[in-house]
Amino acid sequence: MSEPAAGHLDFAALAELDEGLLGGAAGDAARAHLAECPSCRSMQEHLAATRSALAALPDEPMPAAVSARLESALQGAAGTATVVPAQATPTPFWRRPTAAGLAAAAAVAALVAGVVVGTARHKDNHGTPSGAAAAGALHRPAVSETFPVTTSGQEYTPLNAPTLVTGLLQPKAAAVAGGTNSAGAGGTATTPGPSSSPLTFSSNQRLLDALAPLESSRAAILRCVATLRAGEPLVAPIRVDFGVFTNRRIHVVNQPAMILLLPADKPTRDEAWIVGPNCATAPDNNLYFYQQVPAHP
Amino acid sequence: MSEPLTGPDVDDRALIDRHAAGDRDAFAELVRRHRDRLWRVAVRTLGNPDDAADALQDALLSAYRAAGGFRGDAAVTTWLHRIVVNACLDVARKKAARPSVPLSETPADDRPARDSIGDRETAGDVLSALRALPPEQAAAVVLVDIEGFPVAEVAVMLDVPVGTVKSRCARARGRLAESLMHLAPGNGAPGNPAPAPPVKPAGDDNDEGEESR
Repeated sequence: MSEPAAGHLDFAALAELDEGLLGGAAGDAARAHLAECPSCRSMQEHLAATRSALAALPDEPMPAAVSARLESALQGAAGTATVVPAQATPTPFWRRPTAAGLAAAAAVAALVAGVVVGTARHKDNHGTPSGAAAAGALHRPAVSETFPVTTSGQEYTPLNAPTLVTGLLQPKAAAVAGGTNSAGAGGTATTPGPSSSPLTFSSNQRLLDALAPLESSRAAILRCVATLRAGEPLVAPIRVDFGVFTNRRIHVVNQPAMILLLPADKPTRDEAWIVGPNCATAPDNNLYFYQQVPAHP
Repeated sequence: MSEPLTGPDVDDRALIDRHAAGDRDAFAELVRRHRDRLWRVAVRTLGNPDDAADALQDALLSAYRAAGGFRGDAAVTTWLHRIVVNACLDVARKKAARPSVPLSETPADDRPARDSIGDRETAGDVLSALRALPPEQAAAVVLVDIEGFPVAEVAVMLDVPVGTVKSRCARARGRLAESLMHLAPGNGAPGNPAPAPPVKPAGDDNDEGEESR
């Protein structure tokens, strides 16, 4: 594809030949020409010298300033890995709509495919007074544990998550996921979600075992929510589903996941959170996805 | 969690496991182990230390959060490089979307002639030629020719077929060789014994015609 007319080879053709990409007749012709053309051979030598020059580039250690910046960013991310949310714990930048948080969130979005923004609540889905008290210290009785929980076993990815999560609220999707209504109407502390619902992918069943402690206890789910929103008043999820999360870009495949739809700080928005089984104990290492989605009707 | 983290016997995988279990120091240690190499890849792919630092921070924060889900179907270094290179390419694409600073048209600096391409001072020329490459080609050639990763491993890092890595490398090398013609023996000045190769306009060979995806 790259040989010039006169039979001379350009660098592109020489590089392809070198890499074994110039096959068949084109490769044979190129080799035959090279054998007889000193000028093309000298270009070939220059190409080889170019590769050697690349390999011989001097070492270039990370500048101290960059290293310090990275350490500090990572410390910021580690600052909240607490089991019990405490007011004193600094809220990590990616949970607050500060300028810094938004900038960092936009950056993180490149890989996590989630845009991380605010988490204040906007409405009393389950009777929780807005701004009433910090998590774990509500002056009202505990947050309602009647929120619907399903085990769809679906594979969530950064691309399909917003659609799937909002789809969970549609009657049709809920019926597929199974048992939404009964779950929503129930409401004792440890009532399991309707995990009798069929798995979308039966091969996910074993993976989902890791989620059993969360599946079987709405209190455990609320502990996770409280940890994710450390320092904020606890709200009940609008909807919870269990499935798996895959982000091939970062080698995360079929990771057991809890999908939370939480009210956001504006009536027009909800938040989709996808977390791992240890979200209550190691939240920072278990956040797979976050994105704001249009609010449910 | 109180055992010392450093030491040759603690491998990357163990650090990831500790991290996933909530150990706050494990990830920082992992980063310290690999930071120079990750830095080289980022700064040479992007050609700009500020962008490289931004990309690395994005990448490492993402890796920090995702590490609990790392399944071990690839080496930790492959996984880290994959995340870093993807972050770099995202940064490059964002910049390319803004027409003011097209990466692929960074002008070559005025470059005095040198004796040979192996000259220590030619490193600057090589780096500035790298900066003129489309980012996907730069990433491939940085990982294969500079860092010495096997092509198959780079294919995993870039999430493209092996043939695509080879083709990106070949295009990159061809362009680099062209940009560095003035360094070829006896080529300090015009009077080049080799026929001047046809120079393709920048940007015509990003990825089209590749067998990727």
